[in-house]
Amino acid sequence: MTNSKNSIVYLRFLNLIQAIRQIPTFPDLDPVEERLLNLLAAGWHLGKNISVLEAMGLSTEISATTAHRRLKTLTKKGMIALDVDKVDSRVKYVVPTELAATYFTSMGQALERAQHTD
Amino acid sequence: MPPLTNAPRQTRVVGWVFSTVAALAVGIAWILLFKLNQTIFTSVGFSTHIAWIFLPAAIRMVSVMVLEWVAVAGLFLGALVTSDPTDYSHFADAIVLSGMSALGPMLAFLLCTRWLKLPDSLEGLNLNQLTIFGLVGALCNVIPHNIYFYITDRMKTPFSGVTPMFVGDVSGTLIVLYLAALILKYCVPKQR
Repeated sequence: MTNSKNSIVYLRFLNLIQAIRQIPTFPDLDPVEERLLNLLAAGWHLGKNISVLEAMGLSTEISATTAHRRLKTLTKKGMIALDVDKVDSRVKYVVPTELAATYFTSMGQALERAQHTD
Repeated sequence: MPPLTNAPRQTRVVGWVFSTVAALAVGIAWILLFKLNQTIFTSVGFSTHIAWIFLPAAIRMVSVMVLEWVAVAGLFLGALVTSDPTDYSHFADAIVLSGMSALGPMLAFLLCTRWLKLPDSLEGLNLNQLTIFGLVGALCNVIPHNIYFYITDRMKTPFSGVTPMFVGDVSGTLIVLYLAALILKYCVPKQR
């Protein structure tokens, strides 16, 4: 194999790895999505109905525009859904999905395991 | 690119060493996955040569996609090692089956790269295209094998082994690639 052939082999390997990375595993959340999800979880735990507008203002660290974008990506990843208000159809509430429930359960179990290891 | 014969001798030697090591690595990977498959999935075997889950199928496509003919050599050697000599009337039978096992994925690779118009480096390869590679690879393995089993009176019809062999190849490939995706995600995180 010449050097250029070796380069092609290496490039093919890298491109194959990139394609394999696209295989869906557990949702990959970035730090902002995680923060937003945790803030939403705190509200859901207290039984609150959180509208999209309220979700956008949940954190002073995350701008409203960024929060709105992340709400869209969280919806795409299947972590949250939007429920339309029965009285005012302009209002949408952010609700958790089964996947979000599984995610929180996994996080809780991981935390328990970490505590027992200590 | 200068022709191979004009390359400095040292470069050619390094090239040959790399190819040999790569082919051996592919062969070893085939043998290891074959043994693992035999250990874990014996209960889902369809016949002596067919299983409902066949992990080594992943190595066929992935190795050929990266190494082309070097992988074909490795797959041939690996398949020859894992073939059961006592199960064949003569050694030629093992050669034929190992040859089909090695050449099938190469045929699939040539077909798919032309059909999907992928560059030599596979740049832009996405998950859908990888899935197509896997499915076409399974077909290029299943059809020749079943025709050969029918011709050599191992099967009553050329179709009876098609479904389990196809399912075995596809499921084996999916399992291995999914595990690879998990390993990449948690052990080799992407640079942001």
